Amino acid sequence: MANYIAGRLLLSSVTIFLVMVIVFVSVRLMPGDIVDQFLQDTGSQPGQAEELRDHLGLNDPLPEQFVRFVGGAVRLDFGESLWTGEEIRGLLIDRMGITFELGALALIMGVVVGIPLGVFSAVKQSTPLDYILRSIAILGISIPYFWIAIVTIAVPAYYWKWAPPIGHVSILTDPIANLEHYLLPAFVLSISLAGATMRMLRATMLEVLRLDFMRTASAKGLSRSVQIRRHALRNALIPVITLIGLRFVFLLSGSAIIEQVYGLPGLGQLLLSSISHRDYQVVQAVTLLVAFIIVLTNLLVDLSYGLIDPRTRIS
Amino acid sequence: MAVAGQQEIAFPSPQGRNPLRAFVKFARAQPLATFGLLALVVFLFIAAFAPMLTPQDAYQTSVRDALSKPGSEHWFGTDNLGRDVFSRVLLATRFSLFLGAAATVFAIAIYSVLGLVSGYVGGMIDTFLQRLVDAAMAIPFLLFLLLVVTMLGPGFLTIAFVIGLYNGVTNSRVIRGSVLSVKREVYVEAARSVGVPPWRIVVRHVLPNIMATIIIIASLSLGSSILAESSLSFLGYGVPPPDPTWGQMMGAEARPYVTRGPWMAIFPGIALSIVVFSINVLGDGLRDALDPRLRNR
Repeated sequence: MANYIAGRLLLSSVTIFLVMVIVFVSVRLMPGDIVDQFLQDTGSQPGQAEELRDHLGLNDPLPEQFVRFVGGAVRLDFGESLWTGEEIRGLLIDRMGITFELGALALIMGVVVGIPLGVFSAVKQSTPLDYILRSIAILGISIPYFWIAIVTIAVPAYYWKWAPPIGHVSILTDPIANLEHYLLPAFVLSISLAGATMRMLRATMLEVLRLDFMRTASAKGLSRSVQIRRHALRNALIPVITLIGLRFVFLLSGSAIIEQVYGLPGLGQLLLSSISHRDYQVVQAVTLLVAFIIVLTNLLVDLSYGLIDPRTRIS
Repeated sequence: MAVAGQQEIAFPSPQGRNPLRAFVKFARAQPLATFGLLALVVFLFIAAFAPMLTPQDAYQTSVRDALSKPGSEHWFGTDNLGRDVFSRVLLATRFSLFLGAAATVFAIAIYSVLGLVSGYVGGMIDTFLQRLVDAAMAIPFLLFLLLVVTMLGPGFLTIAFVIGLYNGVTNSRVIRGSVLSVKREVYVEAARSVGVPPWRIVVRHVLPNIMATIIIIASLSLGSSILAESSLSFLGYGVPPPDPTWGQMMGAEARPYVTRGPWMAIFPGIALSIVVFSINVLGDGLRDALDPRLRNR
């Protein structure tokens, strides 16, 4: 087990390193840099451009900049935002809380809705209920979530002159207002997760329900609900957990648009603004953080198989 | 389900091959997929003949009519420039579907080649390619799209290529998995032992056996590409105006006016959702039909 984890961690660090190379190179291949953006905004004389680039370290040789980036990342010191001068580490910690709250709420809602509906759909296979549930699930993954977000703002505003609460309230200052601000965005974000969970679980449940041990369980007189919960669901959940892991990652990146629409200053919004400012340092730091979370999530997902299914435990 | 019924599916008698009856049979077995198929046919028709079907010029601006409500004159209302939203939704069908199709073609090419090379050749090449796939999967999808689109500049084919690239790279692992399992089959070993060159084994033995997987991923990829384009457009990195796509209409165009003219965003979103829904249910039906393990469920 320790060997397995060590091997996985080694592979993961290779992945992270590659992500760093890709992002480092691609942000610098975008046309224009932060100095152009800055001078465009302030209208300073063009002569200042080179001076500013020297000052920000953008004229240093690329390998030197890369080593500085990697060195800083290892020490968890990402430097300062080129645009605002804020310390990036603090910025990441502040923003991460918002995105995580959004993602976690969406994850809970998606799973709480998706798992029971998926089980129902499989148990009632080929009945009208199954068709309705399946259609709802596919609708859930087909309707763009940002469209739902826009509609939740546009329609009440236009017809009833009402708007859902927009913006961020800290959970520490006012927990109830905080929940009011996060429930709707999290719900919108959870719809596709619920749909995907439900579809996947229905498919795996159908496979498991046909296996011999299910017949045994039924033959030995277990109640239907025990059969479903203890025997079928437990076996059917494994691929679903992989999917939920992958989807959590999607929630993190998908939240960028939701944060934008509902005015939540999370990681996604930080990423979008730093891309348009060409704030290399911030883009790199956010990407690195997200990549790290993704790799870690995948590792945890793989390790969690052992908890659910003793057969896959690595000895 | 009767055994006779199964045999009928497995060995259709040549006389009994009435296409209409076959369709009715398919429709009975897969009502959702049939709905998807019919809806897609309608949308393909709209895409092909859009300029002839639009009641008004989709590009004609008129300040006087700006943001008028849906009504008899403008079924879906007008946008901030007074353009007819219904006509633009019809015309956007063409651009959105074509963009999705182009992205899917790129994706198929990329995941098929990557998956086949990585799976069949194996060794160092496999290890190297798979680490790249890992890295691509660890970069958030929107960031990947935004970076590359900003890098290459927005354009119809660029956007299709970038979406196809992401879908292609991340899905190549599924193809690689299928290739690995086919590679171990006896018939591949037999072909190799009689000296069939590797490229021929890949084309004649491996490729036909992973075709079902390739098609299923393609159908998923078509829906997700159309969605991906709309998220890009929503953030203002989409296809440059004035050609409409649904994402463009509800995103970049509608967002500033959405509280004054919600129809600007509502109708393109409905059209997009119906198309993606249809593609997804059709893809499901296709998967059930192509995957023998799932047949007759």
